[in-house]
Amino acid sequence: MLAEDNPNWGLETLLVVRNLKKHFNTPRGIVRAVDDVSFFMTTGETLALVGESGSGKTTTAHVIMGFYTPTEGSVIYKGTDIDIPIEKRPLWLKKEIQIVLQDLATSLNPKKTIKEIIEAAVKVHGWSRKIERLERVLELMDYLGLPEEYLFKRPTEIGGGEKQLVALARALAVGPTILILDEPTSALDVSAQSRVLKTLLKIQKDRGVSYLLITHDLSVVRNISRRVIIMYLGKICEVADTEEFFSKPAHPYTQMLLSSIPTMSEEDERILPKKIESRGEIPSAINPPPGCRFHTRCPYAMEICKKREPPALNIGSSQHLVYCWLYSQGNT
Amino acid sequence: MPLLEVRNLYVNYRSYWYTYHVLNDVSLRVSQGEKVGLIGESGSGKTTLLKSVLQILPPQGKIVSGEVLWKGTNLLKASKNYLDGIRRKEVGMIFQDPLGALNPVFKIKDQILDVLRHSYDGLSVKEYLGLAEELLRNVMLPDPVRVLESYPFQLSGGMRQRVVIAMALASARSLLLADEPTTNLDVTIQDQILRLINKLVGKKGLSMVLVSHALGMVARMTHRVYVMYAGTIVEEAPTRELFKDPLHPYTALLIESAPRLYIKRLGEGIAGNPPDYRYPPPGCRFHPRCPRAMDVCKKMKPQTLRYLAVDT
Repeated sequence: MLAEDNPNWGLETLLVVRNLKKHFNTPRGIVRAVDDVSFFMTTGETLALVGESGSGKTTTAHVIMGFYTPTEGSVIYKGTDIDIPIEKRPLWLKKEIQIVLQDLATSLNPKKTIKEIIEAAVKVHGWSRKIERLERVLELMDYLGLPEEYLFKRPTEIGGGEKQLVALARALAVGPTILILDEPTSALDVSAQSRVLKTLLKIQKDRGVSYLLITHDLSVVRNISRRVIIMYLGKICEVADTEEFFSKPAHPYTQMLLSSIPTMSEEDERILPKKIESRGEIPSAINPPPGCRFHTRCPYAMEICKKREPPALNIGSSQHLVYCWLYSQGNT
Repeated sequence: MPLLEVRNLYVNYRSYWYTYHVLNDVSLRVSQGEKVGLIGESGSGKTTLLKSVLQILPPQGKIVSGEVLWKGTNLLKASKNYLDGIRRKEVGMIFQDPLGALNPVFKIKDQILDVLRHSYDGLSVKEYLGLAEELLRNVMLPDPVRVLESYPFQLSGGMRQRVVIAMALASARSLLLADEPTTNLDVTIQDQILRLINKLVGKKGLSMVLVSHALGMVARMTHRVYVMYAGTIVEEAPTRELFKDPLHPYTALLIESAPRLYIKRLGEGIAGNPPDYRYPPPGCRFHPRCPRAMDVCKKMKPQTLRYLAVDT
């Protein structure tokens, strides 16, 4: 989707990703991890990037962070191209785009105390006096509901949900505008999960932070995101508002994804689309299928799907885009 | 007589300094052909319970007291031969981590044949290979010959999980123990694996114990559910009844806190943390976190009460 299609373009568009490609050269061939992906994000919204493993959602996030330089395409933040590797980014930019990494066991140093972990971020970003730093750390911990006695505990001594909150505190310490959340709840039990999600909602309400939420869990998407992007093998399949996404999923892959979720109540069952039985394996991103990448598993695949990549088609509201030949006028 | 019955099982883990009182008076029953679910948060003792049934606990784990009855015979007192027979030919177990369950330096062929030699006696190598191929075909693996010649790392996560299921089913003639059979799998692949397990279990007429913290999965796959909290069983009910009308405060909170698809709502979650197994709380182990705790909860372990639904 082009940023110009957004009716609010220029007013509150925060981040634009345009025709982004990220390929990796490996001995076995080129991995097309992200292949021509475009989307935008507005101020204060939560945009969910959903997909299964190998869909390129984490790679996209890492390109935005500057961990990788894009092979092609651009990432534009507040009107400037930020195709700068992380080590060369100016401090203000690093402050404004922050990430909470997926694997908490490795992203929080087990030998440091919670105080040291949060304080490091506070220090790098300008608070030089020790007492000020401590105040700031305490303020953050209090805000996120972490008790004061946790200051001198280490990550291994606290629960998964609390670790996630510490990682959040560290990211919030510098006052980011965009926070990339990579699978924030995938390792958590239900009760810790709902605590973390509630905290995320509170932060957004109080501070207007925009979230780029990377997840495979659609019940999380349902509860905190405003818009959803579905990715499959490095491509976008569908973009929609959350409400519309659940009420009118359009792309066959989206429907398969939704109907694969095991539900625990009739109410949940009712909103899912008619069963499309999941079949086939997710192909390798090294030699992705030509045409629409989903055609090898799609129950509705036509001849054209095997040859040509589907364009973005508008259905329903102007915000609902689907990349599928089924919805193209000439091919029905 | 139930196929498997666990009665008043106590299991401790020991470290150099501490004793962890994990399973506390756990009882469970699986009838012929029944699919039973076991839900609870991580660390609630679900896997320990399964491993105790087969007596494959790690060395620091110890069964303190209780009975594990297999068709009425106490496996804890049975001879090694009898127990081995059950492990080889009656019960199959799908372990949690499909990569960890397969040895990375052996071909799939060697690993499957190893299992088959134990569960089928006296076949020729050719017959074993034929059987292995058939097993792989049963779990819908295309091109079983290639899979047999592969190493685990050459297969995708979904394929590895299918191999592990095939191996578990080879030795399962009566009971399948499935410990989180789809962790780390993508949703659409998970859906395929669940359908496969359902089909094969139905076809062979097996009983199953499905362990998971994913409530939706248990709701879909089982007849009856046990809910575990901190090493104790807190509730047992037919699956539909449990999800519709949970009785124990823990179950109710657990179900309520799970995010839903049909509505935008986040549950309250459960305050506090699971207890320290070194010093488990007296009385009901859930009382420190229970919103409805009373004085008696702190002193006495609640008895198992049978609840009869009254039609109104």
